Amino acid sequence: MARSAELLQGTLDLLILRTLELRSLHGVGIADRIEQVTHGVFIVGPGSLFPALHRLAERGWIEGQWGELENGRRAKFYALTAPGRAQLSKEKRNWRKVFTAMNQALGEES
Amino acid sequence: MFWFPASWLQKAASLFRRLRNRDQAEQELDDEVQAYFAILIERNMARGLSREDAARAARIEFEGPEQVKHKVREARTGAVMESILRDIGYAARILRKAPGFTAVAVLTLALGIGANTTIFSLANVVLLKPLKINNPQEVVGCYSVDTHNPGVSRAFSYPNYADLRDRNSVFSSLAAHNLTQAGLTTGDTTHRVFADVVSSNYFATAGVALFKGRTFTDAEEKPDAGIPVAIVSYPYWEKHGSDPEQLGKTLRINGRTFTVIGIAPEGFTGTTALVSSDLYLPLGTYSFLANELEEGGQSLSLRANARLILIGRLKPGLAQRDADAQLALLASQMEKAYPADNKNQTFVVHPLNRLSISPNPDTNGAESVPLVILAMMSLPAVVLLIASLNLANMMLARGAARHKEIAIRLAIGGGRGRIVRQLCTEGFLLAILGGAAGLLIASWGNALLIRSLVSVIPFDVVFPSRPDIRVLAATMAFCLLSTMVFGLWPAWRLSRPDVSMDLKARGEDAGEASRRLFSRRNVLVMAQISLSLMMLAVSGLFVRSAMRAEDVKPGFSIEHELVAEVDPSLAGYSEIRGRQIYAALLPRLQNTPGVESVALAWMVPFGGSTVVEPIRPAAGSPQGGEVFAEYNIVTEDYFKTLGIPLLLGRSFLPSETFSGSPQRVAVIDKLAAERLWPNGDAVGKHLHADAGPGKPPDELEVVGVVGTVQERIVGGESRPDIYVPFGQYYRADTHIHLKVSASGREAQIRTLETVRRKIREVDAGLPVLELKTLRDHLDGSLDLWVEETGARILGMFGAIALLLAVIGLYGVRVYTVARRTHEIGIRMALGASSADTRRMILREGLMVTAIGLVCGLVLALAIGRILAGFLYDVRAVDAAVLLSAILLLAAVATLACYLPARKAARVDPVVALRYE
Repeated sequence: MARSAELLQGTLDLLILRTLELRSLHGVGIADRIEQVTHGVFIVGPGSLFPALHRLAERGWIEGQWGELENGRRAKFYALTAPGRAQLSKEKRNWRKVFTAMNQALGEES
Repeated sequence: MFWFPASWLQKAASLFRRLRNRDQAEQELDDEVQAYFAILIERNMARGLSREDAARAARIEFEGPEQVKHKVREARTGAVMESILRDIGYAARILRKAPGFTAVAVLTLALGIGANTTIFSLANVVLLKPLKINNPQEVVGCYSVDTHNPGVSRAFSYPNYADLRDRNSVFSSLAAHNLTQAGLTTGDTTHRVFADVVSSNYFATAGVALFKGRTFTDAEEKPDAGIPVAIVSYPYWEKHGSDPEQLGKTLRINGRTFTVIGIAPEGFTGTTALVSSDLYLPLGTYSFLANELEEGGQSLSLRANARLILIGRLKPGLAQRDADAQLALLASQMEKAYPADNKNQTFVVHPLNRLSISPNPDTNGAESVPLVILAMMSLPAVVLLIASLNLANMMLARGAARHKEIAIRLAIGGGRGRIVRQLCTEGFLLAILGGAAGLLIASWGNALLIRSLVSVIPFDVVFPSRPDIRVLAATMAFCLLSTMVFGLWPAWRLSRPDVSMDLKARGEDAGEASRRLFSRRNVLVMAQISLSLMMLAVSGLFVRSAMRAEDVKPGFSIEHELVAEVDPSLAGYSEIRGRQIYAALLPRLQNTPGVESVALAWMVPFGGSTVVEPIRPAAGSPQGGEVFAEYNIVTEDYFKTLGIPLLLGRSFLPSETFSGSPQRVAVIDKLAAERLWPNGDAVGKHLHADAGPGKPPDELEVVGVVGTVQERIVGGESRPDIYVPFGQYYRADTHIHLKVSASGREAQIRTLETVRRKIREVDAGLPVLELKTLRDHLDGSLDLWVEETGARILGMFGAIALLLAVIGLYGVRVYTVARRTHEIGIRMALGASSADTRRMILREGLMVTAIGLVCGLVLALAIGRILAGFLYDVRAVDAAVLLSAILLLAAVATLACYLPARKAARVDPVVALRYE
């Protein structure tokens, strides 16, 4: 769920992969991190986050593992896999291409 | 090989894992969602909210754990499949909870589907299943057609075949063959088997490799080469112990020793379906085999001797029309080169007939195959319809009991579609179970059918015991169709988003009698009763026809008659030797104590084959036209021996048989006499009978007129008969008829043994192919088999239909009583007696039955009109059959109505009223 801006199809996947690039996180951590790095533009609720996580896990790009928080609570931590890393760099390149193209298109028009 | 990308494999693996550990995956998802929720609350608290506010904020953010889980499930691969599986799992649990209902439903469907699959399997093998031929669409028949008379075609001579094979540019391979009968001797008994005499490239043209050994060589194919080698069929090899050392062993065929050089592939039936020859022999041995059915003796090397039937494999991509054009060119060249033998002949290709081997380009209505199958399936389809209607009623009744469950599901927002899907899944699960059981019933039914068919036809039957893809697909279609009838419609009705329907339904039940009478449930039962009356009437007609057939009065006597079939040619004996044997045998049998009269005949009534010749008055006899008559060659005592009455003139004289008297004579039957000479003065007249292609017709003087006999049951009325004297004509294959004084089976069987001994005394090597009482011969005929089997199958269908309809009626009556217990209680509390109540309940059931019977009677009369055209000696309106069907159904239905009515009469008003 994106309140401030409509998430483009596939953008959430890219954001999740990017978030997990540095370290593995649990669901709430991922949502908070996305909100933080996008300065509150994207607020991801569990209704979109969970399906996306499971979709990515099914494709083998991320991997869930049960672990414990400092306070002893169990949580499922997601980590990027090797194919996920490859996918991320591919999608990053893709995104830049799309981003540049979109900017040019919009720039020319305005 | 297909290449599966890694991601597909991964998805498949994950799907598989999830489907296997569905509960575990669900549990884990639940854990994850719970954990997320907890962490969310903690995070909110860390941001300074109180516990309650934190929880509330988390709940708002979370939108509901079930929705989240649902979205995850939907996002997963195979989500649809998973939800279907969940439905199936639920349906399975529901069905397990009602084992009685499930058992009755599955049995009902198994009977309905089994009946259909049985018949379809048969239709499949005979009409649909591709033959065991490589690329069968390329294989066609090649026919020689008269250019002046396109309806007439003939077989090919070997020289014509060889020219065509070597000079055409149409076929990638062209083979020649013909089917003959041969005598196969083991020990001191000889059996008649079918042998396909084939060119060396026969198996190559079919595109099949032998199971073992080699095919024939060109040297073995050469006409009159006489190299005695044989290929045995797979069923033959299997029947004789599957000898691993079969190759190189010898067979005694028509008195000669043949060496087995190969075994044909499993399932190979040549160009026809279902039946297989026992043996394949090279064209070079044709002269050993040519039997008198085809006036053997002429060398296959003659261009005038047209004996062969051609099958060719068209070059890939060549259209039939282009092939015909090229063949026509070739035919005109050959006509120029050999005008004597190839005058007015052109060659065409045509799809092969699966049902016969013939020199005529006749597909026997291959175009109408769908229609034939439809006709075959129509009666079992009625059984399935009855079964489905039955089940629809059961589903409705059960659905009414489950109203609460369905209403709750609708109320909590389960979509109607979901509920219909769920109910249909239940129905389909039942159908699948019924279908599986139906397949078992069908394989059992087919095995029975084939086993009994094998006993009456002289061929090896190749019938696959395992259902193929078409049979499975058809069975699946039967399941789906029945689900539509009994699952979809009740589901649609039951899931009406009308929560108050339960109350309304009660109102309907308590409503006025006529509306109640035509309630859905009752109408369904009426339909069942009328359909099953129709089925009963149909099976009654079949049974009656079979009984009449068994009781046939064919115009000759049966009870004191024995018949033996012998064929000297199957031991390799020449015509001269055969004549000597018959001349010696007749007096010897005549002098046997207990034998009153003996005669020889080429053809035997109910023998499965007849020869029909056109006969017409010789020039100068203007009345009547050409008649097609059954042709037989008999000795002078034939009519006396078989008790066929001599109406006019005389039978043959001893001087006319055996001595080869120049006076050509014939005896005709009453039917022929009436058609040829309607004035009744046939005796002394002359007629012309064909004496074979290319020969002038024989002119015969009619010396006698005899009673008409019936040669068959299936396939129409008696035809006229013509008899010519044995001796003037000779056929090796001969039936010996004996009229004996012994009555009673055992005495007759003792006489049979005496006859066998006498035959042995004359010639120990003479093959005796059949030796039985004429009664047994008739009972074992294909005609009676068809009648009896038809009656048995239809009798079975009728019984199933009756059973199902009665179960349906009973079920609905019981259900009605249960639903109306409350009302009955009130009536009785208000003073209605037990008898009143019983009468009230009984009346409704009987009305339903009566309406069903009236509708059924209309259906039965309609179908009777159709069947009367097919069945032996059956009228469209057979009062006895109709009456007994109605009485039987009415009696059983009354019982099915009475038992629940009696129960209703025992309702205790106090209990009934408290029940609510």
